Amino acid sequence: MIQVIWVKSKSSVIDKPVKGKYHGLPMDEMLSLARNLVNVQEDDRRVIARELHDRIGQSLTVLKLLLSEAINLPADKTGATLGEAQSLVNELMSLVRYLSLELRPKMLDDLGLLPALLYLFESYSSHTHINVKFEHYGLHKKFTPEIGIAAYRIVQEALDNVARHSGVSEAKVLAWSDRKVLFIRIEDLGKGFNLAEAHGNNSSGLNNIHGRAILVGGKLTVQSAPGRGTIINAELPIITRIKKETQGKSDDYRNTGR
Amino acid sequence: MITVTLADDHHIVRRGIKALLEAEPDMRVVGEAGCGMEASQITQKTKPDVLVLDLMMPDINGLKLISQIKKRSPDTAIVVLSMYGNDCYVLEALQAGAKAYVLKDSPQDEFVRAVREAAAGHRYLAPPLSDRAIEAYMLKTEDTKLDPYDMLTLREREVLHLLIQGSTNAEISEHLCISRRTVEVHRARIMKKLGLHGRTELIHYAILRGILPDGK
Repeated sequence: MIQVIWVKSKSSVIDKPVKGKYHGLPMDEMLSLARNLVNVQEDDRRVIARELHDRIGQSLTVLKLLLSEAINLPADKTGATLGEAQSLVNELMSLVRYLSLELRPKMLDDLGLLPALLYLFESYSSHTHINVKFEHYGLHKKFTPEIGIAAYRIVQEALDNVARHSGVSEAKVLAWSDRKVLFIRIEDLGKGFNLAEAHGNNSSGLNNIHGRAILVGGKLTVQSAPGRGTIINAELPIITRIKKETQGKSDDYRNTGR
Repeated sequence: MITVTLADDHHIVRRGIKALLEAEPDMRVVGEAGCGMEASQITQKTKPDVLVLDLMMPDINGLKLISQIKKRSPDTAIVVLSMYGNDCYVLEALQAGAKAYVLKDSPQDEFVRAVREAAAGHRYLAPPLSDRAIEAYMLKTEDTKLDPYDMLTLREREVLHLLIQGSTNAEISEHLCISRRTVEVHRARIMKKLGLHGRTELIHYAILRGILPDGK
């Protein structure tokens, strides 16, 4: 039996508070949503603090030792030590780059949702060895930052769940938009789970996904059952006017060597 | 002589690049900028052969800056020097009008080569970047043909399943607590999206898709 839970809201909850309710959401649900978001933030900070301390901090200590060693060596003997220091610096550069993109995918702000998602899938697949089959339509427009980040985080969190629980080697992501709505679906054919239990456990992954959708006035459903895989569907309203991607780009690239 | 202007918000980076380029007998640095605005102005003023530009400037989005500079100083070739080698940035930078793209952790001779190639009017991507990777990325950004069934909204899918089970508009309206008029609108949209006309085609579709309810 596939179970379906609905989370609905008609418009953005940020608009205006209604006595005791936020646009149809009971106060306790709203509070638990807020609590979840704070927890997510704290979890993120914990991860960053650990990475900074364990990896960047350690590498910097080693780097410092290597450099003091090099200073004490005769000038013609420093090659190997400096070479080691240089490769450590390269490692550090790529780690900082990775962490910074993890925190906030810059391409989302600079280039929009589609490049950010493509980057996410590439990085996800290389870390988890789970292949992401991605189909999309109508994503070449600029979404508002709120919708962009909500969509990105929903996909990211859903894929994290796939990696943690589903036991599959492939997931499928569909994303498309018409003039009013951005649709997202994340599917896997993995283990699935019992929705009622997950709801009772306060499963943070699913709660975060719900929270993201609700905060932008969206709709979200999760379909799953043990042994039947999981499908997460989100519909996010594209609230403000859609800006077309910058027109009149140079076609220099397209015209050369092709 | 190749004249070069440098734009990077870190003084120490500019100093390094300058030292590197001026060690070449045929290169001369004629201007430096620490922000996007300055980069645009100084390029216009000094008219260098090449502008070396960091994509992440504090004041202006680097991609916008490229298009802006290309408009004002079309004869200056732009070499992007960036921390980020993700295909999306490389593609956007090239489309905006950059001639070459080099990563900050590329070997020095790659960087010098990029400046020289750009000055000669050639496009150059320093390894590990490659045309092939950029083209593969471009393909990924093209719209995919989606299955129309996948493009139905959640509500439309509910209505579709009820229609297939033989429910009437009135029954669906009651079941989903929506007005009959809304059911009609959903129904029309579903048929249009799936390209179907009439109930027979709907049933055929349901059989083909394997979404016919049990016992029917």
